[in-house]
Amino acid sequence: MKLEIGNIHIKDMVFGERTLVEDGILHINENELRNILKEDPRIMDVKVDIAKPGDKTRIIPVKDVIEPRVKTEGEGNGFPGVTSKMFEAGTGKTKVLKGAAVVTIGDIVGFQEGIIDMWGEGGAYTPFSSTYNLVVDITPVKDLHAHEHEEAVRKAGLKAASYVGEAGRHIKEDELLVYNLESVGDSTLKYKDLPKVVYVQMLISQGLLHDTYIYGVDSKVMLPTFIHPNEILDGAVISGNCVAACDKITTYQHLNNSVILDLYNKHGKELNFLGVVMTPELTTLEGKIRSCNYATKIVKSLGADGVIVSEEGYGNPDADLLMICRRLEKDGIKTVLITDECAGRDGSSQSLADTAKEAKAVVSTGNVSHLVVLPAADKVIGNPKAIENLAGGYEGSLDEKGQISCELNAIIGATSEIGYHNVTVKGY
Amino acid sequence: MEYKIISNNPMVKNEFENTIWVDGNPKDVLIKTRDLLHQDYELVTHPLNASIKMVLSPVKSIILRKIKENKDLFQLEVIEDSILKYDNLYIKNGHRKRKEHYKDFAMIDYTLLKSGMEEVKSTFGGEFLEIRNWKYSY
Repeated sequence: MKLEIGNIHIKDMVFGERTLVEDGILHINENELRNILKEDPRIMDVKVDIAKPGDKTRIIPVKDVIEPRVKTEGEGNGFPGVTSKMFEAGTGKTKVLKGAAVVTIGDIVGFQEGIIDMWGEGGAYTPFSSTYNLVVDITPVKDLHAHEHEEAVRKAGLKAASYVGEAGRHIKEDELLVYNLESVGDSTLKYKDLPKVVYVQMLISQGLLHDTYIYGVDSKVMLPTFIHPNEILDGAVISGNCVAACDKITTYQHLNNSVILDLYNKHGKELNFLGVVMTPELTTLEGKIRSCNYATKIVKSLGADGVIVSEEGYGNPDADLLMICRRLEKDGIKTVLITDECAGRDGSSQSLADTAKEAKAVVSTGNVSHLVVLPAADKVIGNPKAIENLAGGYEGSLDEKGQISCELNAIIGATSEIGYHNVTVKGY
Repeated sequence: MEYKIISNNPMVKNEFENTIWVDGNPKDVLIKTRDLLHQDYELVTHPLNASIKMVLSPVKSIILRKIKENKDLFQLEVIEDSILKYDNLYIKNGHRKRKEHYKDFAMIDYTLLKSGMEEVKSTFGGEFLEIRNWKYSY
């Protein structure tokens, strides 16, 4: 399966009479966008705004971040099964407005979601301080049920990204990246001396504001499945997950999954990247055992020598993570785990809700409880008081001058468990 | 099969007659669950949630299944670890006592519980006792 990604570098974002890209500047017709989104009868009003890197702007509370894209060669366009007719993602050519993002905000329930600061301490912790953000704020019709509201906001963000992405259709890309992975059989023969590696990606799959979708299918009703990495890089997986901001995987991060991109870089050189297994993190213990057994079975059937497992969320998913690890290590498959830590503000508490002696190769993406102070913003898009009800915020988080004290928990993408984030390790 | 829901969520109490009502906080729900696991029940849903916000929710519901005798040490380990982790988080963060979002926490807890029930129905054939249709609108 071969996918070409054509990156068009976006240097600025402005409102204009037409939606187009000119000399690297993305112009957006806000009225046209609003009208398209308001075609959904569940949406009463849409506000749009722009936040640029370096601006003293705070966006709160964020639901999802989506990268604007358009498919210019091959079958289909958009997010298959969600914003467009079904097609197989991961082939042909997709143009990406690199450096631009659609950010959805608004209250569905009175808590959760997160902050994007476009500058300073907060900006340093979120990868979305360096993108030009088109912020879409949805007001639903009165008395809309929370499930309907969540779906309306989720789809509005995806539709907005597809609408904006269309501006790149006839623009020549600045950079062309090619992702091509042979079949498992072919690569096993071709790279017979390299270790065979599978990536197992865990997905929160539990209910309202705790869901993920693959080709539009709610992942809580599926068995673990083998998927080509190109499908993920091309829009097959979207987030319906507005839980703890720091480690929810936004749709943008699925599209730019760092584990997949790094494995691609090493493929054929240091290792043989066989593909991805997506596994749901369910609420029941039997569901967890079933998913664990099924995911490890697929990994073994593929003949993997090593596995990288990434988690999503915190709490009961720790049980899934350690369960998969135990099974794989006992079967002689070397296993690396990627997770963040909930280790208390001083970092001294046990990091995960579960432990296992087999978990001996663990990559930490940061301590979600780390305390940060975010200075007052010149402009706030959304509701600054939402911080008190975000994970990581508390009563008194926001002071009279607009300064926020909170845990990393509240900052979107701060401790991404698929590695698409800014926190790193420093040696002394 | 006989199921019980251990809960301090009023929405759950009002909807399901097989609720064992806990007049207390989520720690009390975990303790009651532990006590039942030492008798003749086993865990159906995991005692912790998947996001820190919901781990610290003021309401919590857990599904248990009646069995002859629980000799599963893994289950006992899960509940003990969950209580320890909850204590740790609670000491550092405190409960969400503010009343203004209580209904939202209750609704999300209820939704996650329903997901657990759907899973049980799909694997054990719909024997879950539901006394009313889901008609709660919020």
